[in-house]
Amino acid sequence: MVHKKRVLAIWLAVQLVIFSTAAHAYLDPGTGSILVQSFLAGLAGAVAVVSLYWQRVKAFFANLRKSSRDVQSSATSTDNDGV
Amino acid sequence: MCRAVQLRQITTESEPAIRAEPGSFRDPGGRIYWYGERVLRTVMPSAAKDFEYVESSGLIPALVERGMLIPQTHLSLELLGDAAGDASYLLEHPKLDFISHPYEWPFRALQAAALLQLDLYLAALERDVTLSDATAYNIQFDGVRPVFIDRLSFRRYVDGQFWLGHRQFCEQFLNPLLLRSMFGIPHNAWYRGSPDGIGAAELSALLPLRKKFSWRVFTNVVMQGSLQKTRSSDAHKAVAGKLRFPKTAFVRLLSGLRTWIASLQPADRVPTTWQEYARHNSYRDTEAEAKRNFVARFVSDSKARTVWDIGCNTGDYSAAALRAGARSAIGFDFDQGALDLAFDRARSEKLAFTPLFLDVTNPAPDQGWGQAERRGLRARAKADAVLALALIHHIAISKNVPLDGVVAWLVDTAPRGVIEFVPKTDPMVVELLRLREDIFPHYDEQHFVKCLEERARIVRSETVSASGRKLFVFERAVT
Repeated sequence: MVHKKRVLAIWLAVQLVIFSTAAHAYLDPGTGSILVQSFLAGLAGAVAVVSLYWQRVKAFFANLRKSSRDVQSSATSTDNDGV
Repeated sequence: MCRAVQLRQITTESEPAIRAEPGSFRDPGGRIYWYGERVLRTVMPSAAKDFEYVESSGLIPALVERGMLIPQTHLSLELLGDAAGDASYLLEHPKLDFISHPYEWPFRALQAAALLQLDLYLAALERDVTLSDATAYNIQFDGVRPVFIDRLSFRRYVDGQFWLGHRQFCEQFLNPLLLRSMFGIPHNAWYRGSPDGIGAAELSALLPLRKKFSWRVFTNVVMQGSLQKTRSSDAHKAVAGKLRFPKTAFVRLLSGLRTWIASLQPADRVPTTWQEYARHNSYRDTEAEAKRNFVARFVSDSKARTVWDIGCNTGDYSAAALRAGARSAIGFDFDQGALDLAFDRARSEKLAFTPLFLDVTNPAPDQGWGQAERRGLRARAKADAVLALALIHHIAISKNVPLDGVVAWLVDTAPRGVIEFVPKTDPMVVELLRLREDIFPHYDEQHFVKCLEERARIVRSETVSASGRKLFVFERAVT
């Protein structure tokens, strides 16, 4: 399942980079500029993937904390009930 | 969508001459024409769809209202007759008093123009409009406020498009600004010799290693410069392979450049000679006041609307001319520090004053394609009046130009004006001659008056300093 999600994320990143670009290009954009922008586009894709994972890591720990708190509070209430 | 406004008075006894503007040919989507003194723009069928899209986007009135874009009026194509060819639309723009070139702009002006270009782009992208280029020649100045003048640059944006003008933006705005902010070298001489701007590879070659580690310098200058040279086949593959530049990355690139450029400062280590001129000059405050009053009286008597102030320094006399009723003043000086101060002053005092870089002994020539694309200073000289205060001794003595030639050049510049004669006894001239032989036997007031009277009528004169400085108002026939 995790493996499948990773493949999906990489595929999405690639899709971000591959798409059509129309041009009213009477101006030569220059090879350097186009490659710099491609690099920045790739970087934007990579940032998107990393932030996707980061959100997931944060969510995982948030859930972990939440569930441990739940366990704790339910244990406390059980104790109270026991009194 | 397009409001065809009929001309109020098209027909006159003699139809005005129609001529194509020689500097307007790079974009086949349209062209600028002169209709007498009026400025018209055609939109050709190849750009018509984009033009209609942009008209319907609401962007144009929004930018015009904010003073960022020159206004436009739709006209009937019939006006141009055969000259219109198969054009789809015809627009009229207000005529500007003066066209300046980026190699005449001081640092602050180029910086303001760069910020306008980026602000326009960010506003345009919000409405899914892009720009077909990023040339600095599309920006002109109203005082010190930059205004974008090329309506046809706006085209429909399709998600994923690259910024086709990125390289041009770097060459015509970013790199020239970095030259001054990193090295303290003004962009004007290099830019004038290379009117398409300063290449990334050239600037990159000058950078010391430690400066290359900045992320912005690395991507926009170093990386762009080196990739420009070596990997053209890869770039071709990338574009042909339909690579995409996401809008978020586009906006981030534009806003990043905006923040960066807004923070740039000239890196001059010492104040320039003339930066503190106002405090160290050889005449007292009362004398400066007398000169301001003289200029003010000249402007109100002559009703001059446009004034050229040659050797403007920080713009004292331009300000006096504007207060006396002139509509606009253009100041010229060769001292970058004084120009920076003049620009800041015009901005803070909201003056219709544009300070520009000029070496009087070497003004901008006719250049570019056919030597007609970027006109020289002489071809653009249409001022009502010229001011030349504390100027001629610098040209006649420091640069060895015969006094007769200096007077001829000034009288040619405008049909009337004020010229200050500074005698050899003045401390400033004494200073100029301190380390050199006096090879100027004819530099005196009598010879100056003779030179002036050969070309113009002297309306009045007044001695304004204890050292014998004298102001002359001249007037010649309008040609």
